[in-house]
Amino acid sequence: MSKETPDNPPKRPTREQLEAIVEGATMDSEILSYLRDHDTDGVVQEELESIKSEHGFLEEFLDANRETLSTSTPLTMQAAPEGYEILRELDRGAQGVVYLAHQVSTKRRVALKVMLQGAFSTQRQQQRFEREVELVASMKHPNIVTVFDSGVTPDGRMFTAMEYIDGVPLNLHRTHDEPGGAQVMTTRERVDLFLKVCDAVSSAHRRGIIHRDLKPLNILVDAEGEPHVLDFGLAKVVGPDAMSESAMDATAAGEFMGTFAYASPEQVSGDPDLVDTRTDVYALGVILYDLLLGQRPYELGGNVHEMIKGIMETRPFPPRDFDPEFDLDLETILLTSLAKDVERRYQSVQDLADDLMCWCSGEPIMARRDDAWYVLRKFVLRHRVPVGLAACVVLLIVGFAITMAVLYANVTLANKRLAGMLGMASNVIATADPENTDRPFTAATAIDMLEAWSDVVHEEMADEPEIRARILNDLGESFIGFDRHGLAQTHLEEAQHTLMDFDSEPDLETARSLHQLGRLAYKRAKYDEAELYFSQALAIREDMHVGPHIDTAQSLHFLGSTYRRTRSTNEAERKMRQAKAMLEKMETSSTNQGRLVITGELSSVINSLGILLASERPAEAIDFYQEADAMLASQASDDVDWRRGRIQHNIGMCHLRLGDLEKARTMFEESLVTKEAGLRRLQAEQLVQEDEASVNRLQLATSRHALARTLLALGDMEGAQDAAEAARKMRRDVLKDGHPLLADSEELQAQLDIASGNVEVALGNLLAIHADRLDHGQEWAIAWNKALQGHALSNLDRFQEGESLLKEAYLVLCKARGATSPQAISCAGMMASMYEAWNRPVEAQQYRMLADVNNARDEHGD
Amino acid sequence: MDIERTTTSLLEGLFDSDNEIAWSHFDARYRPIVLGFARKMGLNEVDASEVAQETIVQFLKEYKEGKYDRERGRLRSWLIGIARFRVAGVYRSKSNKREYRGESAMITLPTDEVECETIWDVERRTVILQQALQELRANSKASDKTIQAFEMLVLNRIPVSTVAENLDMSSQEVYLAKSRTAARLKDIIDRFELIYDEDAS
Repeated sequence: MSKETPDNPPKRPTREQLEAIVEGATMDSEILSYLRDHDTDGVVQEELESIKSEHGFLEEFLDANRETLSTSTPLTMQAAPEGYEILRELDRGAQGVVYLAHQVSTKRRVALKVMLQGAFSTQRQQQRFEREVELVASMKHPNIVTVFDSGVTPDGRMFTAMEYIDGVPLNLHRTHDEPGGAQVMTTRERVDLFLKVCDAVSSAHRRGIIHRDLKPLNILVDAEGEPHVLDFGLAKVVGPDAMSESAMDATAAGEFMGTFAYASPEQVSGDPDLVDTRTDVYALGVILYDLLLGQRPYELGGNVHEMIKGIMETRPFPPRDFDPEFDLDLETILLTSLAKDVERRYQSVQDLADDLMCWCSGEPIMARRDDAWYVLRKFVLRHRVPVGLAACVVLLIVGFAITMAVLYANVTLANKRLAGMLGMASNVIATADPENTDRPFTAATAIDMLEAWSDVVHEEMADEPEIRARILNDLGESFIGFDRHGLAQTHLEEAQHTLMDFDSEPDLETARSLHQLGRLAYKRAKYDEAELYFSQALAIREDMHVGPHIDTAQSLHFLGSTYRRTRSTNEAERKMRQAKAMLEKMETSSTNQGRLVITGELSSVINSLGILLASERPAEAIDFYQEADAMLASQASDDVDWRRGRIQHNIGMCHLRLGDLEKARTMFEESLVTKEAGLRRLQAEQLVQEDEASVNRLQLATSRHALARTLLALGDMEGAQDAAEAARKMRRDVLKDGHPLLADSEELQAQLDIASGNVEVALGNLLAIHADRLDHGQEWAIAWNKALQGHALSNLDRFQEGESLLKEAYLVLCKARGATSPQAISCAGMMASMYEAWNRPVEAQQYRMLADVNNARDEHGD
Repeated sequence: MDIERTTTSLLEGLFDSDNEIAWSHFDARYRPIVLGFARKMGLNEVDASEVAQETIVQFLKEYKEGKYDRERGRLRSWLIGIARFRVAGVYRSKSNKREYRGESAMITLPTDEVECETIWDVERRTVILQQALQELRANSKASDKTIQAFEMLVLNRIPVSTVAENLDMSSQEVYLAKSRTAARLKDIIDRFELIYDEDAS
């Protein structure tokens, strides 16, 4: 500094100098001399005093705010990372503080994020952080904030230096222009802005970087309206620990609320392994919801645990609930992004973006709200509903989808309509939420669903008679599956009326409702009515299908079954054979996939033929059964063993009728093995529910019971006793007292008791069962009980009493079950034995002949 | 916080039962003072927040019961009265414990009324200065260079040359910004002092 000379007066001290003096710098001589000699009007002195006073005030001010400032000003020059100068604080969060800083080497402004002390408790965490930053630093995307550098501050805290964006967080950006009366962003503009965010996130995902903490605060929008996503990948390292701990204590301050609102269920589940790119999809869903609707998709409140529960369980408000004008597709997109279950969400951010772009260009979106398939698959898996039930609903929906695709030649339009319809369907299915364990998806809820769907059809589809009829038929068919015959009838009849109004010519859809109405009538034992429906359906089908068709064959088959009741075995047989021939013809010419269905139907027809002929022509019936059995053996469905086991049982029954006890025994034993294997398979695949499994066990018991009877007739008392006991035990486990099948078992036991000499006991039991039988037994069952009583009495040498009971029983049994029925044959045998013991050889011989099947057939004829 | 509202109108608001807003404003205004007061009385952080909470709640209760009469004394005295009683309670229970452990039960508790009021006034000033910073930050745009310069220069103690360079200002302008902001702060503080003083009249 130059010395003062008269020619060179001291310069007026600068403000900087004066400030330095106040701060405690030594006043140099030049300033002193200026103040003393040149500040004649005291201006500089005054300025100095004012600075002093200001300084005093500011010191007091700083002192009072020391606590507040100490957390934000530890990064004074001394604590700033090397090469950076801290300019000011920009933001502070749970993890650290962000400063605006000056990077000395490049002279550029950067945002410096400094983690709180102790953010990383271990060196490993610190290394992970550094690796993560390195990875993020490699990303270049216009909408991702670039990371330049990272390191440790002199006082040991981690920092990252990144691109400084002069912007506002997304949530403020949206409302920014509102107060000024300027135009608020349109929905489209918001979606466009959001799409840029998606693009950024998606680009990071492609590099394997998940954000994990997406929220409006992490998306800065600059003056040009460009979004910039901050803090990629950082939450991964700081996240789990920081989240749980800081969440606990910061929540009171409300600070963590912001982050919590965007957290996905898997994120708060406590298992970091569950977090993947779909976590970002969820957060983006919340952000979009907020962006479009100005509110969060659900309320979160209470303590941390309550909030976690809320995130895991609270369903988002469907936007249309409070704004009916809200776009349906956008709603679907939002709800798909916000699905609690990751599997139901968009599987990638790109998928979400694709759907939004579809929406922008007016194309149909891909998302299906609460995707019906998903729901079905889920309820089958979770609730082990019987396969039949699930298949029924699945078929309904498949049919639905195909209908839409076929009827709308224009695929885009079809997709659009389908999406809409599935949207409706999801509303319906939502009433039976498989996630909600309080309301598991059962037959009852499935029926509710169908009914609700029916409402939709009524309301929405008045102008689409063809689709309407088709769906009404689907519904009718499903209701039959659920044994809701009244509802089924209503829907099928309505389908018919719809079609008649629409088109005077009957078509295949009409045939379908007629056929189903026939099934319904048959199930209700209204065989005449059923015959009428089936023959009408058949006529249309024969007319419309050129050549053989599976539907035509089915109508033939069912008409045949009806003829058995309304006409004769012969006429029934004729129709069934026609069906059989038609299917056989088709089978040879069909492709592999079609063949499976045809073979299934064919084995069913052949089995029906077996049943039809079983009582009158058991030998032929056995041929049919064996054919059906062989056919099934080549199929691969889960219940094939089970079905074969039942056919084998039927073959055994035919052998019994034929008096071939040895063969019958073999078949029953075979049937038991097959059924047991089948049941194990069904259970292993978890395809049967508990109550269904008990039905299966009952059918096992039936075969054991039949085996016991056969063994008894063969004189194998020990084997008979074992089989009878096993059957009786199975039945007791499942059935209530007084059930006819239990009575059957008791009666068989009585027979065994009589054979082993415990006649008195047997008689007592038979009388007790008789009382039950009278209450709700069929005529032949009462007769059979009487026969057994007679048998017991004659074994006690009370021949007259026995004779009257046996005679009466035999007549009834022949009438009700046929002279060749196992019961009539047995009864005749008992009578023969009685007359032999009574010493009445003529009658004994007569009944001995009737007890022989072939003689019995000759005697009574068909 | 609605700092502009006078204490009188706040107190009136407290009469409407369930007037959450009035209650929270009153709380925001006086709880920090009571807290600081309790600390100065020698309590640890936990005990001090406990006393602050109890004092505010007790005041509200007494006020609603009509026990507080502005004619009969200043709000400050009333609050100090409650707070002192609570602080004494804490000491009592501690001394009981000490006695139980066989330690000296003697404690020194500032009891002088003037001393208490002095402590209170210091705390009040501190609170006002803190609130002034909040008010300043809340009412300034982040883009306002004047505030930025002030924050950098005064609060973060960054050399004026660096500040000037980064804000594209001259040093002179940076200092000017500092003075302007200091003046603004003084204004805010004066306004707050008046509001708090109102209960002194």
